[in-house]
Amino acid sequence: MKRLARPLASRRRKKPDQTLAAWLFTAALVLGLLGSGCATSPGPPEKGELLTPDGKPRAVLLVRITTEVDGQPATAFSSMLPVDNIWLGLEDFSTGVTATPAELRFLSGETRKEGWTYLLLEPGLHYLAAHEPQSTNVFAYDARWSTCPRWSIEIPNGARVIYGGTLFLPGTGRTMILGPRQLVTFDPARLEIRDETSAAQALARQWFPNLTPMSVQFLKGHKLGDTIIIETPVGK
Amino acid sequence: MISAIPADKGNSFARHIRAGALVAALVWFGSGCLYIPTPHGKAVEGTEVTLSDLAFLRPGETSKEEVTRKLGSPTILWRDENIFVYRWVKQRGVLLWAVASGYSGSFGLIDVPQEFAFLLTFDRNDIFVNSETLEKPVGKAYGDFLLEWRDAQRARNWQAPPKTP
Repeated sequence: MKRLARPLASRRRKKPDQTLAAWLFTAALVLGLLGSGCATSPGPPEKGELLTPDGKPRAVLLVRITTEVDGQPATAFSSMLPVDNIWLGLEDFSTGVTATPAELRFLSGETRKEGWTYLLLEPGLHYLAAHEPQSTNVFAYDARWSTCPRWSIEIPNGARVIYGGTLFLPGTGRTMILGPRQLVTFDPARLEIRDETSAAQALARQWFPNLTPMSVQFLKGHKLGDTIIIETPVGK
Repeated sequence: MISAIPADKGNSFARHIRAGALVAALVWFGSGCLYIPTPHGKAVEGTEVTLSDLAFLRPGETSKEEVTRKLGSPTILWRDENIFVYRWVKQRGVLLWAVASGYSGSFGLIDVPQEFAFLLTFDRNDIFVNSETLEKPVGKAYGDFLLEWRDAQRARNWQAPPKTP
């Protein structure tokens, strides 16, 4: 009995450590995968980020994204990219008519949950595209970037902070194993731009004090099939 | 008495890793794709501009308004170069894919697209100058594709200045 008991006891002692190590290994792997590509820490841009690597100025485009899933208010941006309800992309000279995922910046965790985000853009014409979260294969997901709803904005030379409006992007959703329902398809008839200039002013004063006064230039809706206007980037 | 535990059963962490590697290998070797080229057919996106559509074009005569009336609004207006781009996509082939996953698997058919562009250049008075149909290389950024074409055009049109006696 003693000879049998000992190995069992030692096995019991050892297993929690090994299981914990396996869990930690898996968690580190998952966090590493989730964290890759969205590692920008929240806050205003660093001084150097307001210039492109080749010295061209970039402006801050501040927008708020709000949404509803099946008629219930939902957050556009949660704490992690893979579970966000809205993904934003940009379209310009380099991309042609197919938007590519935009590098979204956030001021804080709280403003992120409220849907506030900002992008750093060079002067010129840009199209902001909104994409539902990925729920299909990667090919269908990529193809959707050329047909998803979009809005245009022309960043003027010398602009520093522009509020582009609050985009209300409701749609229908699906049940998830964990968490609230997730958006699957936009309701194109209900997409609209709302004016929350005073809230945007307050954020600009708090987070971009050196870049104010903020200007207001609402995004313009762009219908699928309308001509996309592009311009040669400066120096090309 | 750790030594009383058989080495291959005692290390559950190593077993987890081995099992994971086995699953990864099964997924890797159980997956695959097969590309099947198909002859160019109908445009699957946009409207193809064919030679018969262009009979009305006269360099130095046809206006931008006339082009828009006959061909519709362009997909892209390259504003500073005063160029219209009409874009369409045709099916180049299909990709048959299959992925093994645990006790199940998945497979499907994906269209492999080929993108085309018909470019019309206008002068500063919005009068048609020339046109060209191009096939956009797969994987090339749209901006690079346009700039390469523009630079090639410029090089073609460049004429050495007359020599002074």
